Amino acid sequence: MVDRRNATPNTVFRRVREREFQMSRMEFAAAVRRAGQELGEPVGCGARLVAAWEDGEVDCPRSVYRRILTRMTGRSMEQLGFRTTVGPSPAAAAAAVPSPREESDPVERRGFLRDGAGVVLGLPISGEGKIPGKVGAGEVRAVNKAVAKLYEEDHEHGSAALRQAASQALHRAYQWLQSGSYTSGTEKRLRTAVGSLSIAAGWLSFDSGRPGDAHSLYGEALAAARIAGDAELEAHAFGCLSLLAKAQGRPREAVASAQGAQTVARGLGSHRLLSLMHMREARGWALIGDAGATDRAIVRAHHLYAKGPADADPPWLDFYAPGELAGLEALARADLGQHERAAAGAEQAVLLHGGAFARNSALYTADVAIQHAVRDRPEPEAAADAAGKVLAFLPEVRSDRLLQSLHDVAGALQRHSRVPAVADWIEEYRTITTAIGGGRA
Amino acid sequence: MTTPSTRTDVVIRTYGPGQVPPLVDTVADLWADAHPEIVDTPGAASDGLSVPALRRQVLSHVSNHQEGFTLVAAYAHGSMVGFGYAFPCSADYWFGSDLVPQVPERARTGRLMGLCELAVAPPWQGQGIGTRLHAALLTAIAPEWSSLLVRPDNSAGRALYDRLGYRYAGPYRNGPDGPVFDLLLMQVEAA
Repeated sequence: MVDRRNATPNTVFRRVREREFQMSRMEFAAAVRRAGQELGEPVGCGARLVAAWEDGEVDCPRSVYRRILTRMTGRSMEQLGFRTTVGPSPAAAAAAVPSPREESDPVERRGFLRDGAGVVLGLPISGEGKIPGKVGAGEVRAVNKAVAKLYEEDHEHGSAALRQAASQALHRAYQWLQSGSYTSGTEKRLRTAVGSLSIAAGWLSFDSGRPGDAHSLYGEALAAARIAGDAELEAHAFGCLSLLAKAQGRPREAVASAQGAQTVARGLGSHRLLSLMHMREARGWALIGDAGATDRAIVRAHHLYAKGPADADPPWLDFYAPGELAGLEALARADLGQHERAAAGAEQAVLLHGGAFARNSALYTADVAIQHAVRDRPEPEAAADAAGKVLAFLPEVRSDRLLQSLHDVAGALQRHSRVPAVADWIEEYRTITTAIGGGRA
Repeated sequence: MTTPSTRTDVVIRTYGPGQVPPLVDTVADLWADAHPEIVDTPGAASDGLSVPALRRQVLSHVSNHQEGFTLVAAYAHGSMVGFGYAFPCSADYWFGSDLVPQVPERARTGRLMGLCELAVAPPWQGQGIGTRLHAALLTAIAPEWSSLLVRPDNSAGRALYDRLGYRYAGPYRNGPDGPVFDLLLMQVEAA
């Protein structure tokens, strides 16, 4: 473990990002992902990793990132201000950093993650029933890393296999909280970290068809946020509750929770976070059928989004890229019955995602198919075309929600089953879903 | 408080099978509201109908009839006030081997929609919400025939179904000891 206090911030690299690229950490991370894609080396870079480079927590990026950064900037690692073996004092650096730093990158242990549960999320598991003892900064960091990894994995692949890992990690973290001894400062940070983990676990529960569990986990997160006095976590939990209420057919609660999130998020300095909560409110109004209130919320969301990123943007907000802004608006338009705008918006969302966030791209592609099928002047061929693309996502994205979405596409297309392209798609859908076994666990 | 009476305040949403699981709790509460004769009357003859049974039924239908399963919901002022669900199915499945011979030949071979639930909360009944929910199901599933079961003593429901164009097709018994339902059948007019 490198102690943060000994880390030297990499101001050179930060200046390159801010001055030359004029990007936020989040935007730069997206650019890294795109460059990786172009190099045929897809990576799961997030704002958190960019921050780690800049704060000097990582002396030198891992080799794949070195190749990508050189490609993006035309500079070597030394020129970007990273410490490499030819640095001023290699011996001292090596002594201070006994293991290669990339090993502790939150995004680099993907290979292990799928093999098992708690261990690979980075939470040390001591013997069964053993009392945790002294709990400190290391434990807090472990929980935070587990959260980062869960999001990283979720963006890339969906969640069926992750839920179990998340719930074991949460179990372990609660053990620390209940039986460990810690300072009050550590307690606050640990509660916040565990609350974030509850939200991640709640999301995975929802995504794998367990809304009851999700509701309970979001409630725990909300309580943790209140206990720790953490407004960002509170806003996040309210936002999740809003999303869940929308899915459960309780739009009034969806609006109220989103407004609650806005109230606590207002003082945080993150326009993007506030923007997202207005978009959540819009989804609630759209389900109610109030077009005026929906439009007002959407306009506010766009206005706030346009104010740009800020360093106060929470790392989990990574997913709220321009594609997601377009996509969430499209979903609200769909609920208002504005299907043509919804189809165009969902197409734009897929385009803007440009290969990143595979699961959400797949879901928006499904939405394109549905909107073309149900619009006033339906476009069955366009619907079948988009539906075909959804099937193509399947081997890569193993999410129960994507499978469910596929069934929704089939449901929307059935009214056009006499159109040959649609009939062909339904045949293919039957073959694939039969092979998967219906898709419901 | 005045009773809301405008139809423009009510919106109908159509959900696919993948969207149903998170909706089940809300739908079950609404079903309870719509069936006070069963839920609020201890010891009433329920014929096995109950909130838990409804939940089981919805989840079992959605997983066994995933292709084409459609749920529609009516919202007013931010709350769900009505719902219904249906799915396309074969005549053998829906009518059962005893009843199939009594069903018109064309209804055995044409595209058939099985309508399982249609419920509107009491304060919102009699305002055309059931009719709109039913129309939304027909739009989504696009059947040539539609069929449903109704309890013989449900005169309000029966009146609605008569108005929609359903006709009595025979008695239906769900299992040897189960209650007898009226089986209703309707030919959908081509749009």
